Amino acid sequence: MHIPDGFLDPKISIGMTGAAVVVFGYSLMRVREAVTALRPAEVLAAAGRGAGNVAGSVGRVLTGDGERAIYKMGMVAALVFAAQMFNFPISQGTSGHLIGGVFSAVILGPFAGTIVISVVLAVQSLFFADGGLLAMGANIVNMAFFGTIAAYYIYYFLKKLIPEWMAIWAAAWAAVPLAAFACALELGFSGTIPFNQVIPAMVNVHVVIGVAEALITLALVNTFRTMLKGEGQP
Amino acid sequence: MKKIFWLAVVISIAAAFFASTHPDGLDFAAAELSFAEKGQDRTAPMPDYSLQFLPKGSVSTSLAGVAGILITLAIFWLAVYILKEGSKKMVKSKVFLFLVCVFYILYFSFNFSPAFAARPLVTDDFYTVAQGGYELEMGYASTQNQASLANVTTLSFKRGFLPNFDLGIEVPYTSSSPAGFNDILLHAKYRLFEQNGDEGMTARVDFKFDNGNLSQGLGSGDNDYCLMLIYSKMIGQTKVHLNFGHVNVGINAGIQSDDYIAYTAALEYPAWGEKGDIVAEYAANNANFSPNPAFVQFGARYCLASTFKIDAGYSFGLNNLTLRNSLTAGIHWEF
Repeated sequence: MHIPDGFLDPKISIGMTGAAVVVFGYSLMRVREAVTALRPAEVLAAAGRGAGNVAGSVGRVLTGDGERAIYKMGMVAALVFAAQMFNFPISQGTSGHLIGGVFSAVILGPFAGTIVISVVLAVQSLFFADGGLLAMGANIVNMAFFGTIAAYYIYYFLKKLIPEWMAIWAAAWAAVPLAAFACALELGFSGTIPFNQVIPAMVNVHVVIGVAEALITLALVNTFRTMLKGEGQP
Repeated sequence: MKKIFWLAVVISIAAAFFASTHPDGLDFAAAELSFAEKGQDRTAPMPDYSLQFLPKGSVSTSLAGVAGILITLAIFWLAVYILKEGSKKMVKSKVFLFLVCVFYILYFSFNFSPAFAARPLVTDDFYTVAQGGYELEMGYASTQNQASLANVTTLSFKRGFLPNFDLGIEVPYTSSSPAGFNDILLHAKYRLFEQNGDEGMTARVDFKFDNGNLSQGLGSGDNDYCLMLIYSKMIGQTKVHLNFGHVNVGINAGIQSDDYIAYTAALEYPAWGEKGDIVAEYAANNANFSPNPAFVQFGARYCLASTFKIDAGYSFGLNNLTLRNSLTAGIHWEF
C-alpha cells in the first residue's frame, strides 16, 4: 500500500506530511519520555548545572531498560522490514504484504510501534524507491497512524471483552482496510480517481489482504514473545 | 535478540525467492481503475529491492533485503548512541562521519546524470557537473623535465550544486622522489550561458593552496588565485574549447614571481561516436617565471560504461623551459 509519487495532489502531500510530522513527533516525545529518566539533581550539580536545568533536555538520561527497549524496537523494525518484502498471493493476480503495525504496537506499545513503522517506511522510500518521497507523509499517516495507533486501540478495547489472540486477530485484520480506506480518501481528495470507484476497489481487496495480515501478525507476536522469553523480557 | 535478527534475515531471503510478484493491493487497484500511469518512477540506491551491480533476480533481492535490515537496525543503534552520548559528540565522532560518507556514496552513486570529461586535457570545457551529481577523476602522469622525472597521481572530486554550478577539489600526490602532496587546488565553476548543449561560456575561479613542502621540492610555494573564462563551441562534430585565464601568483616562501595570463585551446573529435573521442590541445602562458611552459598534448578517451571513462595522453614541451615529455593515464567516473 505504498503510494508512489504522482498519485497525490501537492496540497494533499503537504498536508499529509504535516500530519505525519505531528504523529511522528508526538510518538517520538512519548517514547523519549519512556526510555529516559530524569537525571538526579546531585549529578547535575556535580556537572556544574543548576536545578533550573533539570526540566530541560540536559536533565534526561537514557536508562538501561530504555536502551534495551530501543534495541527491541530495532529488532521489530528489522522483522517488519523483512516481512513487508514477502508478498503473498491473493486471488485474481493480486498480492499483499504485511503492514506490521499491529504486530509492532502489540509488542512495543502504540507510540514506539508508530516510530518503528515510520522508520521502515522511510527506509523503503529512501533506499528502495518503494513509496514516494513526497507521498511519504501520506504513507506514514495511512500505515503508521491508522494501521498502527488506531488499530492498536481496537486491540486495546477488544482485549477487555475477548481473549487476547482474538483481539490481535481482529485489530490486525481491521488495520488493513482502515489504512486502505485512508489511502483511498487521499487519492479521492487528490482528484486522481473518483471516491465511488477508489473506495470500494481499495477496501475490497484489502479486506482479503487483512485476513493474511491477521494470521501473520498472530504468528509473529507468538514467535517474538517465545524468542524473547528466555532473555527475561515479556 | 540475535535470534530475531536471523529470523528477519531468513524471512527477507525467503521473500526474495518465494514472494509473489503480482502487484500489491494499491497497484492492483491503480491498474484496475487505470490511474497507475500517474505514478512516477524514482531512483534510489536499491530500486525495487535489487542491487544494481548484480543481475536482477533473487540473489540481488535477498542481498538488498539484508542491506535494508542492517540500515533499519543502524537507525536504532544511532538513536541509542545519540541518547547516550549526546548529539554534539555524535556529530564529532568518526563513526558518524563514516556512516554519513557511506550513506552519501550509497545514495548518490546510483543517481547519475551525464557530465563530461576533461581528462586528459588541461583545457577545461564549459560543462558543469549536473546538480546533485558527482564526478571523480583519477590520473597518473609521468613527466620528464629537463632535470628530473616526476610521477604524480592526481585525484579530483567535483559536485554539482546547481544546474550550472559545481565545486571541486584536486589533490596531487607525487610518488617519485621527493614524495609527498603537492599544492591542493579548489575550484568553482559557474556557467554563464549555454545554447543547445553545444555552445556555452563558463567562468571558473581556482584557488591553489600552498600545502606542498617547497623545501622538499613539492608545490610552488605560492597561494595562487586564477580567474578563467571558458568558451566551448561545437563545429560540425568537433568540439572546440578555448580557455583564457588570469593567474594571480601569491608571494610566499620568498619566491619572487609575477602574475601571468594562461591560454589554452583544445579540440575533441568523436572518433568512436558515442563511445570515445580523440583530443588535442595547445597550452601556453606569458609568465616570465614559467611554471607551465607551452606544450602540445594528444590523447584519447573511451567509455567503458555510460558513466565511466578511461583516458590516456602524451604531451611534449614546445620550448626549452621545463617540460620535455609526459605520459598520462586516468579514469573518469560520474555518479
